Amino acid sequence: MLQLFKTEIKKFKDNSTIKLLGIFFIALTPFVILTLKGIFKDATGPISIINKAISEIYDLPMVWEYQGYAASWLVFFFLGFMVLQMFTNEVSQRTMRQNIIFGYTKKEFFTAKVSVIIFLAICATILYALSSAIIGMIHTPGFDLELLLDNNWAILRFFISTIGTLFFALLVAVVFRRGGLSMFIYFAYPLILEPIMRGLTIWALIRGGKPSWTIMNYFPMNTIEDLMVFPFIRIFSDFLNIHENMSPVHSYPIAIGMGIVYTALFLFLAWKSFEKSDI
Amino acid sequence: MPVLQINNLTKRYGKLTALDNLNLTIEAGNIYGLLGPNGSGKTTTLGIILGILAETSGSFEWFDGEYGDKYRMRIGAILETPNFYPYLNAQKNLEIVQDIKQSSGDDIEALLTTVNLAHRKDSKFRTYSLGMKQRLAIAATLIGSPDVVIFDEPTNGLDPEGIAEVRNILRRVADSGKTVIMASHLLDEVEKICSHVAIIKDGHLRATGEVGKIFTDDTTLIISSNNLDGLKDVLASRSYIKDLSQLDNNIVECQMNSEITAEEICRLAFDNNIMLTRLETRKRRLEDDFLELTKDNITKN
Repeated sequence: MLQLFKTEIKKFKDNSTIKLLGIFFIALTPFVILTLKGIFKDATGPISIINKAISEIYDLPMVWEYQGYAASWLVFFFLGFMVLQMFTNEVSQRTMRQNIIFGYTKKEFFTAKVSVIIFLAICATILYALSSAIIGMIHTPGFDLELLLDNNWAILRFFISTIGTLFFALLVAVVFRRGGLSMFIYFAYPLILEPIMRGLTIWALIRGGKPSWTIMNYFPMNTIEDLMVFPFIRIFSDFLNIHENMSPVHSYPIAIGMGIVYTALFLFLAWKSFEKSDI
Repeated sequence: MPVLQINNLTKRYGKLTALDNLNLTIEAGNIYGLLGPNGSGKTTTLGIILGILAETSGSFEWFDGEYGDKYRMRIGAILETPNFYPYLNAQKNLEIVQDIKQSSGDDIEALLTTVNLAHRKDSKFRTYSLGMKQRLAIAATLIGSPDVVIFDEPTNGLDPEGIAEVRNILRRVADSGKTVIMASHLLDEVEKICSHVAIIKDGHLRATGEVGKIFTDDTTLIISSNNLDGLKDVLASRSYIKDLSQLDNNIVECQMNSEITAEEICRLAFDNNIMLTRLETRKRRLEDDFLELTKDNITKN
């Protein structure tokens, strides 16, 4: 697997699109939530309350959530796009076919891609963990080590969310193959198609007289999103759960469990689809 | 010893049968040409035997099954157009091939010299001309010192100079003792390079064997005489005369072995008191053989 990974890195380290996406991700991840501070720093009057609220998002342990939420969107846009590029480029340039002709088995070709995805997920998680810890240490008044270790399940959640998102990108690329179409499906499914499907499901259940709001949480990309959901929504969801017995967001243990299940399912479906297809 | 055994190989795309019960054996050390017009099933055959297309039915076996599913490691192949990473140079592209083939003993510099690309080894693949891409493809097929090399239309789209250069390289590869399989729709190319040929048309194997036997070098005779019946009797009694037929009232056409000369036919007639009024020889061309082998389909078309 290490040799497959090394070969894969050789293939893409000189690809300017992939390099650019990597640079953007590395440059934006540590600073994206810090930019909010800059926007509202000179706010006066009633808006200054926003400035005060924003300053709290950098404190430990809340920074894990806010930084995780922002970084998971960057993973979705930059690293997901990178995975799409890595696969669909091989199809369009017909190098995938040539790799197989030169001697790779389908399994080796697929494993090489998976190894890079795992590597990207590990790097992104390290970057997320380091940047969150540093931002938290700088901003938290009266910082001590115990605060840093508080809520560090967030690192596991971020890793599962990242690898789930990237395997979803791999699945889309394997199934749709063409760069433009894959990109459209990759962005449209979680942002447009799945919300519509969730809405239709709830509507059907209400019409059938069996309303269940929690069913919408079990849609695949919603489950992955719930691993690193916007903290305010999490607080709101916990409130609703206590007072109305209704939870628009998975609890963390369920989100982690379901996230692992969907990640495995994305990987399995991607492999099965790749295994059956002509090259 | 056969390096490749193909048994009843069939490939269908919906209702279209691209390959129909193909049987073929390729022996080690041969330079085998797969010859056929565009769309005849050559690339489909290569795609299946290289494992990138799934066969509908039938089977094939490389090297008597000695290497299992790792057989491609012993084969160097390029299918259709050369495909490499466009943003990488020749050296880096060949290093990737080397990694895939798990081969470490190749001298990439020497390979690039063999295909006359050493001077452009640091240029990106996308800056290459078609001829240079084709030459890089040939270099890539030689990585890992494979037992079999496969080329699909290696001179397609090249200018005459490029064609000559690629053919020279192919001949050198063939001379090194490797088994070469080459798909082409160019008779001339197959005749010049290959020792054996399989002719495929509409997914059917039309003929296979040594190039010299499949493409005969028979001579066609056009003869007329004042004693046509006597001439026909004399010619028909000779074993070297084939396919005797009367074209017109006093003209006969027949095929004869290339060892027999027109002078000998003249002497034969003279010895039998037959006066020839016309004697014309025509060399049968390779194209005639090819058209004959694929005749029923041409009629259909």
